[in-house]
Amino acid sequence: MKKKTKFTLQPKLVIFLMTIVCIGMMVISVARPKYIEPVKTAGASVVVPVEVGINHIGRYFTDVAGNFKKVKKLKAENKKLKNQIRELQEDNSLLAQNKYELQRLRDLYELDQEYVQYEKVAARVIGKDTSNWFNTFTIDKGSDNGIAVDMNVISGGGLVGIVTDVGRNYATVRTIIDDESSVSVSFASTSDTGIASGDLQLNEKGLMNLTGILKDATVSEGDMVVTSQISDKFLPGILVGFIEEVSLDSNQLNQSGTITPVVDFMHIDEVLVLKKVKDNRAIQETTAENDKKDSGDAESNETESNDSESNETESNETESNDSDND
Amino acid sequence: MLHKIKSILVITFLIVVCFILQNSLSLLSGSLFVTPNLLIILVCIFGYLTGSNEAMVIGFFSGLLVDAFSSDIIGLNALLYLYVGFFSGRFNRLFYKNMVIIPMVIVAGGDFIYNLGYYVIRFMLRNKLDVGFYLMKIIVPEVILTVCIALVIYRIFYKIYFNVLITEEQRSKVRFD
Repeated sequence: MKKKTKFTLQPKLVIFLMTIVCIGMMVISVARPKYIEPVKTAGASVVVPVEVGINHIGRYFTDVAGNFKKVKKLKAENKKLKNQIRELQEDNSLLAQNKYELQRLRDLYELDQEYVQYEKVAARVIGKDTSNWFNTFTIDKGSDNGIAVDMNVISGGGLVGIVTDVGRNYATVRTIIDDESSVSVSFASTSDTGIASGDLQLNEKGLMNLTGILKDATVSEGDMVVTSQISDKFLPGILVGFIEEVSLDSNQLNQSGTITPVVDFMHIDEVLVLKKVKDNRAIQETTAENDKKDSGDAESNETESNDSESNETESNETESNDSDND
Repeated sequence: MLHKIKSILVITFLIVVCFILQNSLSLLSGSLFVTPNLLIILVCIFGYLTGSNEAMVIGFFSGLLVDAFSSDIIGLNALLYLYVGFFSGRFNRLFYKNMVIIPMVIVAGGDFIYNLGYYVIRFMLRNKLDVGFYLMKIIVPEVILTVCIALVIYRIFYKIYFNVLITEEQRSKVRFD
């Protein structure tokens, strides 16, 4: 060091140290996700406002360009539509007859009512995953609007994905066609269950993987696929898609196939977030809160020894709560 | 000192702009085309212009920003961008003012390294072994598009580097070359 007048860092040393830092961060983020929250919020506070602004500008330009195209189209469309109206009126009378039947079936499966009741928040998609590998996107509503992790996201009547990360003014949604996503599903026609998972290769064709259906299950092409009761994060009865094809596996134990999702994932613009986290999840959260309370009590014990009695009774209560939940 | 602060601010600004543009571009592209990786361009070109140490720092923070937004594991993108920065910085000694081919090759190499690393860690380890598919459908199209964009951006980055990031002393040196 004495020989050199200027201190220069060796790139090899830097890369070695930085690698250790990175791996350390990875380990921390997997083991203790809480500690990395500050990094996320710092990034979000800079980027999200700008992103929302850019989104507005982009929307304006696409609107203007769209208007010119539209005038021509509209005239042609008008003619077509008038013809269609006539056809549709005939269809309508037919459908009215079917409606009664549909209503009966709906009551049977209690599909629709389930998620119509949940409170929803509408949100705009403002950004997508920067790599081409995964299918996640960012929406412009966050914990300020009551969004929490594991809330389900729907659009156009079908399941889009699940909230994986929440900031004050943004939330990250992982779509069900993401390569690392899998959803426990059941079928409207039978009560069998399976697993719908995203796959990058199948995405090209607009399909999803469907696996783990029992051999004896009577499922066939065109069957309606909905989220299952036993899923621990997805609310039951949300439409996922329709079976494209299904066949017996080579091991003769399971059936597997593909699903066509109902949501057009390439053109998601606005989504609805269901403001309800599945129940068993909620139980876990309350226990976590109770745990927090306990630790909080422990702290207050240290500072105020006078209240120790009341605290003890409280912690006893929470303990009994825990055992109830289990 | 003042110059250093200015450089840091400019680089931070560039990282954020590239990230936001990339984020919005991927929203626009949909299924039509893959998203070009602007941050890789930034890291590679500045690595080529300034050297490994600087590029590694730029890469590290770019990756961290990407991680903070779209990944559940913090540090993975930071690590990959870091290596890309190191890789591109090695070519700093080849720096010659009017040469455009070399930075393009570096960008292509950097983007390839990044995507290959990402594939190995996030896909191959989950038993998704169809390398040919991922190579042809994602990695190669992204590399090609990224290089095309880099061809346009290189001049801008070079001007920023030349006019803002280096001191008067270094500037005269570059002129002399």
